Amino acid sequence: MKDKKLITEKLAKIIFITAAVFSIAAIITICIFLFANGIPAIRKIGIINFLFGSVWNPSAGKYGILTMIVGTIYVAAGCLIVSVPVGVLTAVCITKYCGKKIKAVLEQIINILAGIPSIIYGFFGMIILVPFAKELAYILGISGASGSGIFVGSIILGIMVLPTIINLSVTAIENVPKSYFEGSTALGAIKERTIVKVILPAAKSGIFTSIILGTGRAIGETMALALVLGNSATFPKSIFHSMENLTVAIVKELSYAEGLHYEALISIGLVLFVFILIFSFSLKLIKKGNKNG
Amino acid sequence: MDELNVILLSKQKFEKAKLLKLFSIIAAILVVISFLGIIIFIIINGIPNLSFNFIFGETTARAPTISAPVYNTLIIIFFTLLIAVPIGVCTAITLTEYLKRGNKFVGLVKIATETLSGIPSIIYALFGMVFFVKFLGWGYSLKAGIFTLSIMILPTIIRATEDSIKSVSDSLREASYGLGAGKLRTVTKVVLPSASKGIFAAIILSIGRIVGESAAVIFTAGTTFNKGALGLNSQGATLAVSMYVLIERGMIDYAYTAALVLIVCVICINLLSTALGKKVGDKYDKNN
Amino acid sequence: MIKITDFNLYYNDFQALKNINMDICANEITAFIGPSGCGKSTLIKSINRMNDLIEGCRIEGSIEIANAEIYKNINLPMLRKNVGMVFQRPNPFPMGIYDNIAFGPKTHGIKKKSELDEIVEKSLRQANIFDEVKDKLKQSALSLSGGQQQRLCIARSLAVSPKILLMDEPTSALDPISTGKIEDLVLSLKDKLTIVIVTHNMQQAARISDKTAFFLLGEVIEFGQTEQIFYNPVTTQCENYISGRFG
Repeated sequence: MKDKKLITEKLAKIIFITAAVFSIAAIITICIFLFANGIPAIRKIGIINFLFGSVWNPSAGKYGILTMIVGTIYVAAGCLIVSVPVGVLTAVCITKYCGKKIKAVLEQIINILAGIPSIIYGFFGMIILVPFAKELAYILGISGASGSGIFVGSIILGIMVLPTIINLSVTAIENVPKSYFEGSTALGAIKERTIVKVILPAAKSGIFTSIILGTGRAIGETMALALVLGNSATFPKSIFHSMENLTVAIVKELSYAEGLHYEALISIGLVLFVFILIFSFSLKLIKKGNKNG
Repeated sequence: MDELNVILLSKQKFEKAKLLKLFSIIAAILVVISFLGIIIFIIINGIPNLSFNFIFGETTARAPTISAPVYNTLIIIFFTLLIAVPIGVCTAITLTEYLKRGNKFVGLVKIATETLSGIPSIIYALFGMVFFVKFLGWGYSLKAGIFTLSIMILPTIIRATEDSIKSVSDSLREASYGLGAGKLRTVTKVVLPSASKGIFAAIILSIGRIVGESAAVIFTAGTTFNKGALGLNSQGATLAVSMYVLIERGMIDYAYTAALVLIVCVICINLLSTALGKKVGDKYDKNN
Repeated sequence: MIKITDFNLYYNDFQALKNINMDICANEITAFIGPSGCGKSTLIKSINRMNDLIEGCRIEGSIEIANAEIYKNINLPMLRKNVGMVFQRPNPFPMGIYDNIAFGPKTHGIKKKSELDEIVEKSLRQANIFDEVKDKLKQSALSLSGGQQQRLCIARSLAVSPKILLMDEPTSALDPISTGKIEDLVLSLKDKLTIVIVTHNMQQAARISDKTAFFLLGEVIEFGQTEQIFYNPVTTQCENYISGRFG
């Protein structure tokens, strides 16, 4: 009887630990296959040509992804310009100016926004925002604009990233000790001054984390941007002209790419992968530094 | 004293900082407008084509229906959970019950899980295609999609299960051991049931993610609208992918309706997980 | 200086202060004593309207400072500038020492660096902490010890030149040596300020205050010269509290 119990216990332990190994195996497999399939193309194209070449024209044998890298950076920056002010201000509104009922409604709305699939965001952007942007470009005197591009991409991405910024900022603000607010008020500062000069600076590490996470999301977003960035792989003339970024390039061309073109797309994925790894690793180091310092 | 009197009764100066209140309220209103804009946009345009046939009827080239995508989505959800939940829960049990916190293996698993959760879906799409579709030779198939998605939702299940297990109070475990139960029995009969609400919430959340995922599914499970004859080996678009396909084909009206169905599903899933979240919260308030 | 008339305070349905009538004179130290939860902190927080921050707080009656009724048509930031407060637990901002002190003056419009420098030094000296921190003004205020942090908070309040200083059990979280330093500090401020101090420590009240008010269950049972309260209390409740029979 006891032996049977021991065997069952041992068996269970083996099963559990095997399961745990699975996630390590998964990440290792992903790394192996991305590198194994991504590196050959980089070798053939030449890493300098690949990363710094500004022409992407597979049919002419040109595989430079510089414009796409720049595109990714621009869109991520645009996303932050939209989402950080709106997000942090909304967090301030939720924590400092909203009654309980409105707060609950707002939080539910933000929850749902967080769950809307990216393809729906892309669809909305494509049907509503792109024509609007085209009109706007016309009014502003910018010629030849299609409407799709950084402008719409930033807005859509900004909305998508809002829940992340808002939720983490709300948590950061709520974690600021009440005594700071009291101390500042007792010195004669009005509520708004206290929020700007004391509370927000005290919450800045949490808010900063939210911005980093939002940036990570913006860099990796694919489907929403696929529908609103447009189609040209060249440097855009304005924020209302088509452009491409790393993720969209993959999505648009992967289904029909062959040979070196196909391999190059995987290499783009590899570049993205490495970049995101470095990004999250640096974030962790900064967090550890903050804790110790 | 008179000086003080005058100061106290003087009019309050207007400070620029007061604008903060105005701006923060405007920001919140912008959020609500974005939300309403998207929802109303889809509802208004999606309802015209909404019909029983659209959801359940046979698809034709001229009048596509989403019956196959809906079916494929359900299949993928079921099998993805079938793979990811046991592995995820067992991993979490290993990390919390069987190994000590400082253990190097635990650290490795944590790094692996965190890295996996930070990978964007396009990379999963690439990996899924390169590994499952091409290397293992499965071709574009529901199978490939299922396995890719399992890896994708694994970190969520692991983390949520870990948190739920950790919040089960030790006194329950001690009571179980005190009665002579072994580790396995304690874990399966005492700890897991207590943690089940949190695990269930994570499952609901993962279902939401699977339903909304498109990139990773397009390049693993394919984009066909027809119900495949090869079971899990056949290609099949999910609901989200079907939307993409309809857009690419220029069938915008149908895309609206697919979006409507999609968003209704996602909102229901969201509300369900919030409701569960509330229940979990209440439970802990009462016990603590 | 401070005139409290028929003052009642309610937290939702609970009445925390009942019919308080009190005149606090300028340039004196007035102590509020009494057992826990009987309204001392509540009254002191009403004098600079910090109670406004608490939801569900309602008042009746009036408090006048320099003949201005503070619950009607008052310049609230100016009220709090002139009626400073030191809290039970030191609460320096998570900033440098200099920035903590400069926060108040900056709030009220002082921008010139030379002026701020002057004020910071003066306040730190008044709080008897200048010598200890003069070489590390950029360092975070949170790196100071508890006693130093409290003196820093006092300096911070003094930096806006208040006429009245409210102190809510300022030494209850501190060790005896820091307590002694702060008591000396309070005595040294007397001729420039009006001070109201809430304390649980009767010896402290006896040591430093000119007048004392004894609180019980939201009412002021006795109010008078400190010597009289401690050596010749009129009411039995006061006498019992002083002699340690409860509290």
